[in-house]
Amino acid sequence: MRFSTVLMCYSKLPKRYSNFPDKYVKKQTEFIQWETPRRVNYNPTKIRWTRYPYYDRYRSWTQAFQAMNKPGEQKPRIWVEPMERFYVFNGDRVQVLRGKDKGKQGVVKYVVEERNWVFVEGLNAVRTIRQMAEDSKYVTIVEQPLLVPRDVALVDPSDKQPTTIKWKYTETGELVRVSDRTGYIIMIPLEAFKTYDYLTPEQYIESPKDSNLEETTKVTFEPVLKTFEMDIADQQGIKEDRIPHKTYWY
Amino acid sequence: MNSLVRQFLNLRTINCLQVVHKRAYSVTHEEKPLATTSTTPVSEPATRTSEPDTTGLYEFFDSPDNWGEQIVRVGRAWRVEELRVKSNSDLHKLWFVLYKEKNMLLTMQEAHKSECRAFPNEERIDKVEESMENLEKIVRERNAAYFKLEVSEDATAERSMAFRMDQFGRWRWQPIYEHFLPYKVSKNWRTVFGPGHGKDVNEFIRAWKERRRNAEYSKLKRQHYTVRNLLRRFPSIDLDYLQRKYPQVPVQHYKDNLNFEPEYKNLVSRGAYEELH
Amino acid sequence: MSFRYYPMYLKGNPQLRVYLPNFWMKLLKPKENDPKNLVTFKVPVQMTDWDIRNYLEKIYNVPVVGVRSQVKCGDIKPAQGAKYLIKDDDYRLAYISLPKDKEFNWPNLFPDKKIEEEETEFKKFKKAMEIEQKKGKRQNWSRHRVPSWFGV
Repeated sequence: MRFSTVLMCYSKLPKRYSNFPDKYVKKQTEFIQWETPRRVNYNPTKIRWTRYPYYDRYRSWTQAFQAMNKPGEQKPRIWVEPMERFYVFNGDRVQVLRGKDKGKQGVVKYVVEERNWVFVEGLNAVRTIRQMAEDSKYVTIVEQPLLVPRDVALVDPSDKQPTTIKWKYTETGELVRVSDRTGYIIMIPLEAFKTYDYLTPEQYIESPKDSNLEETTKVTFEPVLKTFEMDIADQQGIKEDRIPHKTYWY
Repeated sequence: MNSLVRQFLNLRTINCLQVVHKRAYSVTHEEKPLATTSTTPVSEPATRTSEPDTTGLYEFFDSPDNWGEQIVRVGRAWRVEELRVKSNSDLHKLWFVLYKEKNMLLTMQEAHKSECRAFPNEERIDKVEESMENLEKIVRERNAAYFKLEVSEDATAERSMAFRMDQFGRWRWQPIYEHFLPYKVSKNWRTVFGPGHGKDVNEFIRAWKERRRNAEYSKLKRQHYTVRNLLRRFPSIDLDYLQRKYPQVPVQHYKDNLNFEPEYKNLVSRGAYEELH
Repeated sequence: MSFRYYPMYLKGNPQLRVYLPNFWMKLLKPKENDPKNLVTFKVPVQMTDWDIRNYLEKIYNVPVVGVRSQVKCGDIKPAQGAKYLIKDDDYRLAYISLPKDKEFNWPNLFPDKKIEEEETEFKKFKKAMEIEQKKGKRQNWSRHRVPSWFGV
């Protein structure tokens, strides 16, 4: 029962930087009802209760996502504009082009790539006033999603005006975002590389079961004219002179 | 051969080095690869007064510090590039560390399940499995290189495949099996697994091809439908990318002569046309 | 020849060896009346008694006196949101007997301290949720303590 950890903190995790292995994330969105055992005598098939997962602001490994996509729940088909490369990241400065906060600029707080959604801090939000006790009131601010090409544009840092961008390669081979209007390179903010486990790779704290950087990068390979099995057998002193019986492959 | 006799004879023995106390978890870090898990023997649980005799069995449990924890953090899986520079004996040792870690995780998961508790950080199992797959990939790579040098250019260490007709008359790539008898002699095998022929097979092939054709056709129709809808909903869409994604659909033709009213009135009545995206 | 395809065996052939064993094994909690030197494992169906003994002796250094095993049917249960039944994979239960003088005790995997911490956390969370719910129910919070006839 990880209530505090699971229920309260999940929404802060960006999908790409959650540091989960791809296999684990894929498992959550496959919705397999039954899978044939992995044997020779079965034709491999998977029965799923939905083919197209319904994405909202919740991440796919959370309980809220699973409850939304549980069997028997029918959701409308979502049309999402296909993009070759999504170009808005956490920490980017953007301008809102539509809605009640039209023309304001803000910082991207949360991104849902599956629906081209962006949540900007403090903008396009629903405010509700609530009362804790007789004296104290407080305001909750819940940001609403903004669709990326339609409602939001990146801000060019050189003149602080909204622009469209293009992905281009630099001379060193890096892929960068270039402003269409001024040709200025818009760097990807550091916050986009933040993960659940560390802020920057240098700040990662090793757990007792992790291997060192030295251990992992140490080169111990020696080329030998042997297969893996022959090499191990030689090292352990296993000698085998018997000749196997002739067999046929078909 | 009689199956019972075969089972009796086909005994497999494990060749295992004495696993040295070496950390073998793969790295979880972005820059520093994680080792899989430590192989140090689990210390005695604090509750027990007498010394446990079977220390080996306690490797099936996590270290006592992690018992009852809600979060257990580890690094990432071993990558192929990191394993490629390791010697055969290192890979062999690492395999057993990974194997023990996987068994430990599965045991702990089962224990949590029986107590109706959430198992912390389930993705650890996926990490270990991923690194085991990567390790096997490297071993296969090395064996294939040996076979190419010593046997022939075409030889691999893998079981080879054959392109042939199966029992139902379909031409397909099939894995081949090892037999004691040559193909000509083993008539029983041919009657069961050999190429199918006859009236029933022809009928099956006809129906199978028809079904496959229909599936392809419906897939193409679905692609046309999605392209039309995407063009309606997103007027500023990137046409080049759309054409690359759906090469069989004439995107430019649709863009030029498309009726921009919604295809289904139901969508409009539900108010979904504007709000769905 | 191939990686996970073991060659066929005939008497007089070289000994078949496994260099990268890959059968999973799960240690199960013993039942109340089980003898102290009996250990139960859940293993895949394809594993033989010989395999189980080999794995335990060579990888885990556990002295094994006897191995018995039986194949169990996987759970059959109704599918989620559907009207048919689905079946889990079959598995094999292996009963390992250790030497007489040795015993295996199942450790307490969920210490009381940790459970207490969890429970207190859960209570706090529950309280916070209750307060949230109450707030949601009270629509006219601005007219709190004002009699209902006042607005009429």
